[in-house]
Order: sequence, then C-alpha cells, then structure tokens
Amino acid sequence: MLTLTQIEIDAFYLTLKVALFSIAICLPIGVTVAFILSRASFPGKWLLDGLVHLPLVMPPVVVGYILLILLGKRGIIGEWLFQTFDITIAFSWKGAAIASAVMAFPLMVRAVRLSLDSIDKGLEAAARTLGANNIKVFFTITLPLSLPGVIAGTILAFARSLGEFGATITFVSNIPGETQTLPLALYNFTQIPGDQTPAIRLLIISLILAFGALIASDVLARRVNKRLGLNAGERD
Amino acid sequence: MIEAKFNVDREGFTLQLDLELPGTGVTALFGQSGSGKTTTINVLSGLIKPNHGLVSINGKALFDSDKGINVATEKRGLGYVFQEGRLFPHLTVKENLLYGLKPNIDPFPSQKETIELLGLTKFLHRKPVSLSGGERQRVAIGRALLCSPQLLLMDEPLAALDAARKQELLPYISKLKDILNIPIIYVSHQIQEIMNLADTLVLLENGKVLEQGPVDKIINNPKMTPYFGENLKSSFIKCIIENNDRNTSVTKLGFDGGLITTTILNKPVGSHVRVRIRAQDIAVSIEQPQDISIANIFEVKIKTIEPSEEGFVDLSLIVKNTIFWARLTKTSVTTLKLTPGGVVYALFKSTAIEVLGH
Repeated sequence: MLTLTQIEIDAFYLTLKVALFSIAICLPIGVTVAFILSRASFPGKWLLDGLVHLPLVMPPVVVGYILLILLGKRGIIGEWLFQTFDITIAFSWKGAAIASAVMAFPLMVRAVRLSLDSIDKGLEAAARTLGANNIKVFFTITLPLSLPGVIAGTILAFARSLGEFGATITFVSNIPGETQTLPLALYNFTQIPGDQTPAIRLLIISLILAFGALIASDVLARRVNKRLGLNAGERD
Repeated sequence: MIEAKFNVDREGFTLQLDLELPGTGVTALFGQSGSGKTTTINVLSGLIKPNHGLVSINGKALFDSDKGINVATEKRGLGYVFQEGRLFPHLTVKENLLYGLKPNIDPFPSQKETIELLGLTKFLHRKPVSLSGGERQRVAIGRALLCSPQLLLMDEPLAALDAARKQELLPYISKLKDILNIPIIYVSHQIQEIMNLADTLVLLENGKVLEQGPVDKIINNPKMTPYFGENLKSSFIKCIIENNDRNTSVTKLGFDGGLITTTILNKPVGSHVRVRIRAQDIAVSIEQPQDISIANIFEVKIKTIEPSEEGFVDLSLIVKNTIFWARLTKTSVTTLKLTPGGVVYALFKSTAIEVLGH
C-alpha cells in the first residue's frame, strides 16, 4: 500500500496535469464569457448563453464525439492545426485537457457569473465618478470583488476535470501514460475479473486528491474573504 | 455657474429641469422622495443620460443633445458622495481615499489636510466593514474631495445615519463648506440640514422645479409651508461672535442693529455665524420692558403687517438693515393698536436662538 505502482503514479500525475491545464484554459475564457453574459446586452445573447450550457446538458460521450469531429487529425480544426503547426490534439493528454475544459466550462461560467451579478453595481458607478475607466473598474473593483465566485468556479472546474470520463475516453481514448487518468484507469481495473485490490487502491488515491482539492479551496476562500474585508472587525 | 436644462423621460416618471445654479456655495435640492432629486445629480454626474437637453459647468458642456456631446462620467471631474457611502469593501480606508487621486493634480485641501480635517488618521489601515456609518461617510467625503472635483455632489449623506451619527457628521460638512472653493450640490429632504448648510434652495416636486432662491427667502415664503411640513417663518441674522464670557456662560453676537445675547458657543471670537429665530418666538411690547428675564430687547420699527396662518399675523420689524419676523395673534395687534411705521420693542429669549453654520 505504501509504494505506488507505475500505473498509479502515471495516472495520478496525469490526472493532476490534465485538471490544471483544463483550468488554465477555462479560467480566462470563463471569466470573459461570464462578464459578457453578466454585463452586456446584445442580440443573440441567449444563443451564447445556450452554447455555454450545452456541455452541461449533453451526454459527455456526445461532447467527446463532437470534439473528435472538430479536433481529430482529420477533423475540421484538427487537420488545419496539424498541417500548420504540427500539433496533434486527439489521443494525447492535451486532448484530455481540452475535453475536461469543455465539460467544466459551464460550471466555471455559472459560478463566476453568479458572483458578478451579486456585485453592487453602485460600487462600479462610484469608481467611475472617481475617474476610473472601464478597464480600471474591471481590474480594481469588479474582478477582486468577484474572486469568491472565481475560486468557486475553479474548484468546480477542477473537480469536474478529476472526474471527467465520457468525453475523454471518446475523444482521446484510454492510453496508459498519455490519456489514462484516474477514472479511466479505475474503469480498466474494474473490467478485469478477480482481485479488486488495484481498483480499491485507485479509489483511495482519487479520494485523497479530491479531499486535498477541497481543503485547498477552503483555505483559499477564507483568505480571499479576509482580503475582501467581508469579515467584520478585521484589522491589518 | 451650473446649467441644468434637460428632461429625463422614464416610464411613470418625467424630470424636467431648467436650472441655473450659482457656481459657489451650497445649493440644496429639496423635495419628497420621487421628486427627482437623486436623478438630477445622477444626470449631472453622467450616471443617467437625459433624453434631451444641456448640462454645463462654467460654460463647459458635459452633455448637449443638440451637439451630440456626452462626456463620460469618469471624465467629468465631479466628486460624488453617495447616500450609502459606497466604499470599496476590499480596499483599506487609505486605498479608498486615494482611489481617485489624479497623478498630476495636487488636491485641495491636500491629502494630509483632508485626512486630518475629516478625522481619519487612525482609520487609515482599516477596512470599511469595521467603521461606523458616520466614519464611513467621512471616508466617502474624503475620497470624493481627493479626486480634485470641480463640483461636489452629495446625495443625502446623512440619511442613512441615526440621529447621534448625524450630529457627529454635520460639523464636518459645515467645515468643508468654509474651506472648499468649489460649489456643492446637496440633496436632502431634511429642512433642518438645509437651513444649516445651504445658501440656495431648489424645491422639486414631481420632477419639476417649484421654487428656487436663497434659503432664507424661500423658508419665509408662506406658500412653501406645506412643503416643509410646518411653518418655518423665521428671522435669519448674520452675526459675528463679539465676546464669549465663560463666567456667565454667555456669548454676545454682533449684528447690523445691535448685540444678541445667547448661551455660550463653542466657537472663537470673530467667527461668523448665522442665527435663526422663529417668528412665533418673538414678542412685541409697546413700552420698553423693565425687570424682565428676557435678554434680547430691541427697539424696532414695524415695516409690514401681513396675515399669516389662521388667527395670526406676521409683523416684519426693522432695525437698521436687519429684519425680525414676529408672529402675533390678530387680537394682540388690535389691542396694542399696532400699525406700520410704529416703533415697538421686539423681545426674545436666548433659548429661542438657533445657531446655524455660517
């Protein structure tokens, strides 16, 4: 139990890598889209809103298949990427990160948008009366005040990535060391009859990773709330 | 001079203004809720775009629908103190104060003076959440001043505070009035605040200007009584503190016509103050009263006698260039045979004197 097998180590680090990269993709785009949905009004906004939520309501396998059609080596975008930049996404860990990012995207956008919607618009108006332009207002008022939502969205996206299965296996298959994340490895072991120990070991590793993420998010959230001055009587 | 000639049409609400406000001193926008006070200053600040019209300060247009001018809020250079303060919760008091500081303009009063004037020195490193309502409003005022505004807008800055906090904040605002050389537009529905602070009064009702002019004049206009909720007919007298006698606890206030005796004031000799004496607190005597506790007795000439509320008449009494208003019953006027031009004595107790800001 103390020493991990190569498959376990690979799956652990790969899962972490895929989740972190998927957040790195999700975060900037998610905050931007959430800001647009929260503050802008334009014709066809409902379409963007619907598009964002699509991965939440579609079966993950369908999302994975769409990704394969778009980003596969013969896909519409994938072929162009391969020929222009020599980048292959399908059947690589990058593809797994993209699949995770797409699945996590609506969760990220929802959390950030909720937080943006709850910000007192009067504070932004006050900043403008003090001479701040839109960009300064966004970076000094809106973004800092929406941090709790950004953190919540990141944690949700991270958790979604850790558990991503359907879209990943459809889009990038189940290749040990390349695309075999913890859930995929666990699935593999459950398909082999007989000894359940390897599957249970992976289950425990998954639990530890999930708990670690929860604790980290809690610490982060407390710190941010303190920085935002949301705790009464606080002095620094 | 501030020009505000515009109309805002919203569902169920129309604001139609044609105002020229003085470029100095405090102008109060007075009216009930829904009369358009806050909308007016939101239009001045650019937070609300009027449907049509013109907004300009000292000849410089901030909004002009004919010429297609609409200067963005952040470029108007106006200070705005909101009713709820609107301090940035994630920034310290100091960061809040400095938020609007312009890189190449030295604010007046300076950063240090503003902090001292508003008594904020010991709060600088605290977050707004740990401040009382009055302290928060002081930070909000400081923040608005430090962005070097050409006009200060204040939207009922005392309304969200309890009576004790109001009394705590009012002197700070009076002090500002003395120091600042920019005009202030002060929104309020509290006539007491307005009498204390304002020079000019604009009375709004249902999105229209009902009356506009010097505060002292409008308050004495009998037509206005319903809007103030009571008859405020009063004498407003400009005075200088001549002498503070700590032994007898008496302050002598010099005015154009004599000396007023009042209970001791906490202000240095030579300060300018304005006092208000309600018409109902002034009595009239034909002969000079002797052996009486009343300290303020002035020989005056009756200028006019005009009917007032039911059963009462208001007398304007003149001494040098000062006018006192006295409210008497019709019976008193008949019994004493008072007529315009007659010389009488006006009497009022020291306790009837209300000292206002200058």
